[in-house]
Amino acid sequence: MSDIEPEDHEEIARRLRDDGQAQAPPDLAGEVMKRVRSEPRRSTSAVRRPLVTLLAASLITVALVAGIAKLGGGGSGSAAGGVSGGGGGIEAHSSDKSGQGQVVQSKVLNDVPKTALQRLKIHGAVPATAGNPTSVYCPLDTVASRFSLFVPYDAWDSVQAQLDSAKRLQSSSHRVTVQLRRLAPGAVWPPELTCP
Amino acid sequence: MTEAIAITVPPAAWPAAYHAPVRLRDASDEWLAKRSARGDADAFEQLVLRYQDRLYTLALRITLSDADARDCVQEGLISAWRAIDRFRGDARFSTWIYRIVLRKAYDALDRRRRSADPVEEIMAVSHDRSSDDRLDLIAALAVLEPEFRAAAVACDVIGMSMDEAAEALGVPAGTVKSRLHRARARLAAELETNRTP
Repeated sequence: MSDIEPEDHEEIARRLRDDGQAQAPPDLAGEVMKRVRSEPRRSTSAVRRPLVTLLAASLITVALVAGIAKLGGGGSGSAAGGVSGGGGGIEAHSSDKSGQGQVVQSKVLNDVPKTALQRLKIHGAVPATAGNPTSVYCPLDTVASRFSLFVPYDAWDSVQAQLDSAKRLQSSSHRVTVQLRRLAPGAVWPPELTCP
Repeated sequence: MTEAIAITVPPAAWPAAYHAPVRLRDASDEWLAKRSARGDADAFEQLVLRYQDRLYTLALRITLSDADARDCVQEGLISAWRAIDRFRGDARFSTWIYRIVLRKAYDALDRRRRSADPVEEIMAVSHDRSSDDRLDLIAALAVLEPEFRAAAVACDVIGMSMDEAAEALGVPAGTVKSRLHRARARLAAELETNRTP
């Protein structure tokens, strides 16, 4: 079948080229265009515009959520003088870099008297002082109204009880929001914690 | 707008009476495809007018049926209109549209195979100039297996290069070459047989 002469190939190719052509039916293009015009496609930009808007809105939402989470997680100003050593700490806003992977539980307490943070007692902790470089101490005279308090695993119930009690008993007008973060068992609050 | 248009006169020199159809007629396929992707039906119409005969020939010689060829071209062009924003221009527009219509043609053959339509019906080729030789050739084409027929039609009837045919048919260029060779040999044998009294 395939042992024909090269000139036969040429001849077949020529005949196919010359005689193989056909003309489309005269109404074909008209019918196609009638259907094309009956279903106008939206331009690419028109399709993409809502997608871009949606994407931008999503990004803004994500950024807002992330921002809120960071505010909630890191406090917003200073941290109250609290506890340090091997115990919990009141974290300043900028110290969110530490300890996140060691947090096993989280809870937000509203309307906590700010002074309650200073009076907080945590088992095994040394009361913080401004002069102690290893302590976590932030002055309480800042305007911050949100704080994160990292709590040793075993002190979780005790800290909550102290803050709840302070909420009921104290009449302090300066109340703040505290996000309690329970550290994993054995986790130690990182010493690089700083105040704003 | 002017980067892909095949016009030798710069826009500033266009006469005031210059009108859109002239521009579209002179535009390259790829420019028209870009315009079509933005929803310009007039640009797409230019492509339809430009390719309808070649597409119809392609579909007709492969399906061997006037009605099927018509459907293939119509559906292929509508599909192209719907999907033209996916045409990125890294291949030629012609290859892209040939490929779409070829798929439709293969689908038509599959459908016909499943429904077992009589082959005689498909031999009623219309819109052609008729002559004995011509009918012999078309009858001989019908003897070929669709893959071999497609190679012969793509390369010899439509005039695609080996690479373009390979891309349109979705097979390696070597396969196209081999199929084309065998198709021509088979056609030569068929025509010779028909010529013998």
